[in-house]
Amino acid sequence: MNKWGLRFIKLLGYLVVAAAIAFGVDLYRNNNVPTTLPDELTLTSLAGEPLSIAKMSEEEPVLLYFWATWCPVCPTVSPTVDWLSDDYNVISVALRSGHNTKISAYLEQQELGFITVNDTQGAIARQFNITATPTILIINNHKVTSATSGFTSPPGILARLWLSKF
Amino acid sequence: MKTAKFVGYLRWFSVCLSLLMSSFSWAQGSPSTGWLTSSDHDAVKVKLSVTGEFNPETRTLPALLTVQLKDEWKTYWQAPGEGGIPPRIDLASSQGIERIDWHWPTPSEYYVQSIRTAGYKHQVTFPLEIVVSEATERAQLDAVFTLSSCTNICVLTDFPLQLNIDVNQLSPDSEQSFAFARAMSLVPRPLGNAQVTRADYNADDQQLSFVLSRKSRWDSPQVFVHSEDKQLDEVVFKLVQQTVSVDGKRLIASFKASHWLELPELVNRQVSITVNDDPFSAVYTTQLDRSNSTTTNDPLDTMTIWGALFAALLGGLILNIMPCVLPVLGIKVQSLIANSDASARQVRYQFLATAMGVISTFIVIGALLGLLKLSGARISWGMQFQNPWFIAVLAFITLAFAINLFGLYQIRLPQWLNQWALKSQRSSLLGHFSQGVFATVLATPCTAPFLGTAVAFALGAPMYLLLLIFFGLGVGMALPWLSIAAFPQTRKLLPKPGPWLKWVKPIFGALLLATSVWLFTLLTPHWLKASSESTSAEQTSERPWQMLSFKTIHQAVTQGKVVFVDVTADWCITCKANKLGVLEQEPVYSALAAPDLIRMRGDWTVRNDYITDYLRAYGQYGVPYNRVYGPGAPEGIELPIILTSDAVMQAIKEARNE
Repeated sequence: MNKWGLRFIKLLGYLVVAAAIAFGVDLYRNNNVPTTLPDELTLTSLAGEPLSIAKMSEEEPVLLYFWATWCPVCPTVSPTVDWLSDDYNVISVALRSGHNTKISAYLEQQELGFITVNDTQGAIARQFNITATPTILIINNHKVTSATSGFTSPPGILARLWLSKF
Repeated sequence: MKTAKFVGYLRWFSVCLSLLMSSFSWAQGSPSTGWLTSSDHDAVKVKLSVTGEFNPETRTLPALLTVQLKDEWKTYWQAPGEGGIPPRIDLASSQGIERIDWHWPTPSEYYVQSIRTAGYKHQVTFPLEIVVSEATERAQLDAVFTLSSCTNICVLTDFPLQLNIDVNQLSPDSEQSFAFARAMSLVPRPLGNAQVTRADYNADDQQLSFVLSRKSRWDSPQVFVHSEDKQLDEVVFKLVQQTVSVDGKRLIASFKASHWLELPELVNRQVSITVNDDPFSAVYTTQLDRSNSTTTNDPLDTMTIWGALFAALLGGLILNIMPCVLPVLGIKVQSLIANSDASARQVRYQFLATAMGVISTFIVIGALLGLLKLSGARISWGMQFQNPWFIAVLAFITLAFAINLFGLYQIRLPQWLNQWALKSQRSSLLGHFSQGVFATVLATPCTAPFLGTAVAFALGAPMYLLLLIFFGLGVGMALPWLSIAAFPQTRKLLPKPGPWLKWVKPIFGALLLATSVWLFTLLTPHWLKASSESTSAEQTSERPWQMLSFKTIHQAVTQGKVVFVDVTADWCITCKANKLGVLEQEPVYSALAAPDLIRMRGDWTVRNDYITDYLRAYGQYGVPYNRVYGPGAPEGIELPIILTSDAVMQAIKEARNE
């Protein structure tokens, strides 16, 4: 095997190790997140339309994104999620961030177009045992297949969406 | 013998009694919630305690809200910046409590990628004033404290706060009172040795511009803006740019205002500017003027990228003739003269290699500073010179090079490195490259004109601009090398090699030796600190002060003397400002040296009940505190917290009965 081949395998090795660590951290941080969707979970978007994550997840994986206006880390992740919302099912949950008009104005100011549900009291987050923002859940066919908090890169989210199908 | 035993018993009994009393007063006199934790979030814990004092006039209870944060967790200031929310207390179903007034200690800035927030790490104590409703004696605090905390994730945690307070049952706890005074001393005040010389708002680009002028130089200031105006409650002020003027005394900052809905009119509104330049921290409240034009008239106030880049080039170029770099430049010129038979091509490559060494080192330094900034550390030019190990290594390297130049020995590279270098014929180029690296590392402790301006601009700018400015600095410093590389024939202008050349090496060797000696002298404060815990330098320069004593004050006053009392603490920034700005300045300095004047100091750095009692006697709970006694004022004249030399001189005059 030539030198470049060896280097490629080495690089691949590093990537696998990094992915394993990220997976481990996810698992540790979100070990309380239930593996199946809470019963009778119908959310209402800011626009007033009812959303059934369970039904949506039967066709395509759903990305459920928990964020907050008071979270200085969220603006680093929100644009990525917004970009994905063009091609994937994305529902965002604004955690304890105030009333509807404020959240709508905030989304407009930040140029974020994803569908948003207002979780004024944090009740939805509690159902998923989520305390930290930003957190991304991937839901496929009624099952929560992955949960990750903190910075997430676009390829990281795409990989999780893809993996959720298996 | 018998009496001694009796006295012994009595002493033991009194110790027991006082222990009993103190535990009794703790339970009843100054209630506390104890440490509260949340099962959702174990990285934070909080505690609310009242000091046991009660001011019946203002109906206020001083209290302390302490937050402890693990590792990298941070919580936020009253105006946390973009995103972030300040900690808050919702009185919920409390009874007999009108409101709670917060005091905010000076925050630090933290960066999450490029997002700047203002907050606190590890531990912060908020001094609170709980205002009890009219005609209430028993107040019931049943509130919810909501605390936001972040690392690379954010959590909002609710802590229930419950305290039953009977204002008649309270008794002051000196530990808590001390902690309250200490926490209050970390809350910024409007100190006199700096002032806002410009504050305006431009509605066209929603930018606020400030100039803060200070008597001494700004070092690495952090600026924060907020407003107490209720209508500006939800306006976010985002730092756009921050620079220090060439003379270092003017801090220029601009902020962009935004609001989630509609930005209110800001002209003629009151805003507060908090500045933290450790150990200096102060707050100034000022009214915003209307900005005259879209472009600022003073070219120094807002620096464009081009201006900063030009300053970087110039500063880098001037660095060459600063004493830290000159020897390296000299050696280079000497080698050029000695090898005058080298081909133009060779010279070109050699000098290009050195220039690359300079430029790449600047970029590496810039990148390191940028990474440190992103991680939230406080950065400044030449900060590595605060590290004794770094100085020591550099001092030994320069010493080794100096000795080498004197010809005492030759530096020999390890065998393998030599062979590697020879084989690839990189020998000379690698050497020239490392000369550039070495010159740059040596240059970092030097500041040249324009350099400070460029670096200040770079450190306040986003990462790509920071790297661009450091690249500019590198190009500036490498200009002499680059110009020789571009025109190798210029070396013909240099003097012909001759026997005089043998003197060049020792001369530059001496210069380098001087650099080495200077580096070793930089180490002495670190050695001193290690050998003796006390800051000896400060004590030697100061005149003796007597210990605070009521008895001595009264004796001295009856003898017709004047007593100047200064109650201070090492952790008290206002005290330091008073000392440096007034007490050690004329005319106060000489006035305090008068033969009929006794200087008396109470050091409250650690808890001291005698001093606490002294302060309490005048209804004071914190430092700084100054009072002047004399025949004209046996009860003493109280001085303002922030001293002015007029107030001090006037009080001494009155006390002396002049």
